[in-house]
This record gives sequence, C-alpha cells and structure tokens, in this order.
Amino acid sequence: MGNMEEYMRALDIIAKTNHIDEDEDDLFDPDAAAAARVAAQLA
Amino acid sequence: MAPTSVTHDPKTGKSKVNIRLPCEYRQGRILGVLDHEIGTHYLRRHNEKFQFWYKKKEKYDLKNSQATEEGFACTNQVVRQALTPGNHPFLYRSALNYYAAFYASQMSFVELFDDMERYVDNKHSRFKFVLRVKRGLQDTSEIGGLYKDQVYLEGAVSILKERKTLDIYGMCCGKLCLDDMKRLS
Repeated sequence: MGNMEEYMRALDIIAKTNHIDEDEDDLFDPDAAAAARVAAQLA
Repeated sequence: MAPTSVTHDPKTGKSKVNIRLPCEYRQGRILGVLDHEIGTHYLRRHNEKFQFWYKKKEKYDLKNSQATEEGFACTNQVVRQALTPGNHPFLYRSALNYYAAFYASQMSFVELFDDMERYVDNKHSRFKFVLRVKRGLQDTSEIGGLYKDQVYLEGAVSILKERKTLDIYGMCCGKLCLDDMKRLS
C-alpha cells in the first residue's frame, strides 16, 4: 500500500470523503438499545 | 454468507482466503479485498503470535478487538481507491451494513428489503445485504437480526477519527482494540 506518508494521505482522503471530521456523532448511534444488543451479541 | 473470508488450519499452519462463487468482485475491488483480508486480518493475526499477550488476553485484561479489527480492515480496503485519482473511497458497504443491522431490529425481511431500495436499486445486491443481517432467523416475517455487522462502520469511524495520533505500525502488531493500543503506547 505504499509508504506511510501516502497511507496517511489516503486516510485523510477517506475521512474527508466520508465526513468523519464533521460533528455528526448521532449519525452513528441512532439507538442506544440497538448498540446494547450488538454488545450483547459480541460478548 | 460473507463474500470473502480467511480460514486458518492450526495443524498445518496454513491460512486460506475463501472467495464465494460465483466471484462477483470487479477487477479494481479485488486488491482492496486482499488489503482487507491479508493486509489486515492475516497480518494482525500473524503478528499476534509474537506478542507477550498472545493467548493471555484475560491476564492482561484486553478487550474484544472485533470493532477495531473490522474497522481497520474496511479502512485499508479503500486505501488504494483513495490514492487513485477520480475514485471515491466511500465506506458505503459498512454504512449499509450498519443501517441494515439497525433497521432489522424494527422491520421484517420484506420491509427492510423494500426500505433499502432507496440506497440499493439492484435487487440481487439488496437481497444479499438483507439476507446477511437476517441470517439465522427462522421466521423472516419477524423483526430482529444479527447486529454484529455494525462493528465495521463503528470501528472504521473510530480509527479515522483518531488517525492523526494513531500508531499505524502498532495497529499491525496484533489483534488489539484501540483502547488497549493506547495502553501499550
């Protein structure tokens, strides 16, 4: 996958493309109950 | 159910990449899949054997690393895309799996299949997304599903949010979660 500098540049592009640095925390946790069920299944 | 998986035979010490037939990967995507399966899962699994915590996770109070494992793999899967001009490294598969997992808890198989039409117009592809999250259910008219596929997006988002301070080499040294990685450093 190339050198580390290129890799880090790729991560920045991926983050920008997917709006990772934007303040949208609720987008990834729409329902605490669903998250709890995931945790229960992983346990 | 997964289009690709890696199995390891402890007797022979050999690992094998399994690709579901018929192979539906496009030419450009297979390299990303190899970065996911070999460049991430195999590498971390191989290096794990040389670490002092190998088979002693309870002793060192190490947590479940599945979200980090899959998130790192999904991120690495699109690195080549990110570096190819004109390509867009969307984490849409992880996002769709997350979405499907959440709404599987509220919808039947058919309801979810219809609901996801707005994101996946191809019926064959959409069926596979829904089947993946509804696997194991005996009655498909009931709500519920297998929610663990949410870890792909959760893990990827966590890694990308912390990318500026993350020890990438450390991420490759074994099967640790992000929190335990921080404890190491």
